[in-house]
Amino acid sequence: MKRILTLWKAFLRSDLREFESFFWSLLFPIILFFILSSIFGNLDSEAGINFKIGVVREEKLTGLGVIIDEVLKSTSGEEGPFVIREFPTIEEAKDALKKGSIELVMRIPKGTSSKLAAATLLKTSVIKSELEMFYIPGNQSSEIAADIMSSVFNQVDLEIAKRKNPDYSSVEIVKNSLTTEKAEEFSYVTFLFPGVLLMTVLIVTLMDSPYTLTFSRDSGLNRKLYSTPISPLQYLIANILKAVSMNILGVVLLYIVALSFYPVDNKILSLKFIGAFFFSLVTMLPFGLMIASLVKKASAVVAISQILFQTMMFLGGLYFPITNAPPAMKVIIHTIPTTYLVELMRRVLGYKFSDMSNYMLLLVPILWATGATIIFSFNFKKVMAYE
Amino acid sequence: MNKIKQTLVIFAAFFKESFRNKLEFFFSLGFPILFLVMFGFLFGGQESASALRVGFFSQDDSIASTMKNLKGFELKTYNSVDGTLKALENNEIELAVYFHDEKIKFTIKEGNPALEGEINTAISAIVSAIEGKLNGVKKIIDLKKIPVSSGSFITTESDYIMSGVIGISILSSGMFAVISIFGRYRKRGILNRLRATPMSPIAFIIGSTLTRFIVSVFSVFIIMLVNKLLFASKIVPEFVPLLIVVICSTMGMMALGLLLVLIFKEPQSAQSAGSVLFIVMTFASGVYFPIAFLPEFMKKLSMFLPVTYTVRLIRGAMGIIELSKNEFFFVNVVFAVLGILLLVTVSKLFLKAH
Repeated sequence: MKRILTLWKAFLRSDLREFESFFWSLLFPIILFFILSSIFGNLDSEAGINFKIGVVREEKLTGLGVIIDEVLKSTSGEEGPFVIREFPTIEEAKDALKKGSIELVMRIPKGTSSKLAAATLLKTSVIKSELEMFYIPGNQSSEIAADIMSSVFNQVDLEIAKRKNPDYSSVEIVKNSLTTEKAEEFSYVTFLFPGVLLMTVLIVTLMDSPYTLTFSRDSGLNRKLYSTPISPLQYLIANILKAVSMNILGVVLLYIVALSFYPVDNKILSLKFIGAFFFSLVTMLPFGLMIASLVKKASAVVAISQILFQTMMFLGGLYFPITNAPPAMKVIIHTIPTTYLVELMRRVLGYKFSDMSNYMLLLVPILWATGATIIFSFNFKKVMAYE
Repeated sequence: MNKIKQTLVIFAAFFKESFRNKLEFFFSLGFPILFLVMFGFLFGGQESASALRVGFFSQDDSIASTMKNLKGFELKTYNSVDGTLKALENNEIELAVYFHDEKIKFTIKEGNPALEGEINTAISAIVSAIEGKLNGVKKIIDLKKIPVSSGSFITTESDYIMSGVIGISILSSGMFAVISIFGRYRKRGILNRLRATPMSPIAFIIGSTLTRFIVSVFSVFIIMLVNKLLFASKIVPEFVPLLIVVICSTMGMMALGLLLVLIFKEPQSAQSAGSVLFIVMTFASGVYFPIAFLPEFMKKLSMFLPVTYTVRLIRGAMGIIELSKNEFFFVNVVFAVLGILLLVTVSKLFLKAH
């Protein structure tokens, strides 16, 4: 035991002194949490995003037409997501759109006010004020700006009717969430936290652990160690303990940052959640050992680990839920353990993203861990290089 | 051996090494393709994959027919509330709608930033249509949504992702390669040994960097081919401007790597600093997410990151966005000049005979 602890201390000290390990295990999760929460954390509120839109007015709006001005004013500046830039001609506005200096163009053609007045007076939809909105398909910010503008203008007809008709009755709108009990309770940072936590586990188990083992084997370090009273099993245990310790250090730092600077739900401190995290760590550890068993060269280990790391991260839904994947990708999604592990942690926090039973969330990772352990056990001598 | 012959021999050696080094090959080509495939399929590489699916149930037939007339999403009707919710749970739809007794219930699965905008628009359109129907509101404002090509054709999200992936591939191919050549080779004493030979430093620089251009060009065409095969991309790039962009951007990224080599004595530190920059640029250069999504300080930061400009150049050369000739010329010249200046500086420092 003493030998294992001494070796573990030495490995840990060496990793902490090495910038690469220090960065990926301790700093990168915090940077990623910060970046993703900054980008996606306020997408739904629209508060943090500004879309520059160009407006081309081919006439000065009068009468009921003023309502269009009111709508644009209420959704721009401090009130809304748009920053309005006026253009004298549609060509100039489209040019700015194509060059990327604005995300959307609104054209208010001549005759808008008179058409609005006529349509309201005659109570008909035969005469319509046709506004035009130009956007760039494929460009996410342009598409989102167009979506928001469409939502806003969907309400304008109703607003005009409300002003004209005192008996107007509004429908009651109820928004529910399948993921949380109340839609208002959803918090992206709380949703994201288990994803980043699981990513820290992947760094240690898929990237660090198999590379360390393969590199030690290829460089002959193992053989040198075995010439001392250290046994392969002691060496392996010390390595695993080092990986676990690095992961725990990274997780503690992430907890401190998340709880100090972000409105993350306090349920992340619950024993159930911490238990789910340790379950993830324990079931993912054999995965890395399996890679070291199946792949010979250290360079190939790096490539395979990277492929698995990225696949498990993005297709596992660590940062956003995967809902609309093609069939082939769905097979991968349902096969990889991270899909189940992140769902397990999120369920503890009160979020539910799939119809999988709790039993499945435990069973699939356990099956992977068992299979990986068996494969590693058969290749133990080869991986540890003491044949 | 004359200088041209020297250059060719060095080039041949580096070229072989580049394609034999599986790890380097993976990071230059395999890694970007992995991202293209994953993000392309997840974020709408194919038109059908990006359409919002809405499940609806109501016992009121007139409301059901109003819903059928709505555009902008795929409507699926169900026979019960439970059936609609089950479909949402099974990911068959992204939004469940139930109308009863002047009340509209919307149920969603939260957490997907990619769908937020589409869901909010659909909710607004549905409320507007149902409330309008109940109050006999006539539609008097029609907002036409007209797609405009920012380049030479109508793009898809996979085209944007692909061009971003190419930017990252060029960054990886240029920056990390020179860190390896001038950092690791110096550390291992290989450059010192080369200095003892009659090799011309210029021949070494041209021979070793020429390979990077070939690797970059090769990667770009393979990534474009994958995008065409998987996502039916309509991109028909102008090959000469694209070639200029790839070469100048590779030089720009090399300049960045060389700067790190000059700042950090240890190649490992330069490599680590490169990794940090790589991550920052992946997120803050408009590669996978538009710069408009970024918080204000990251928007400002993006203006100082070379990949932001590389990605714009690539999108311009591929006809995805319209790029002014001035911007195209200026950015390419800056990248090329910086690359040449730093290559000359580093070769003088590390390769000149004692």
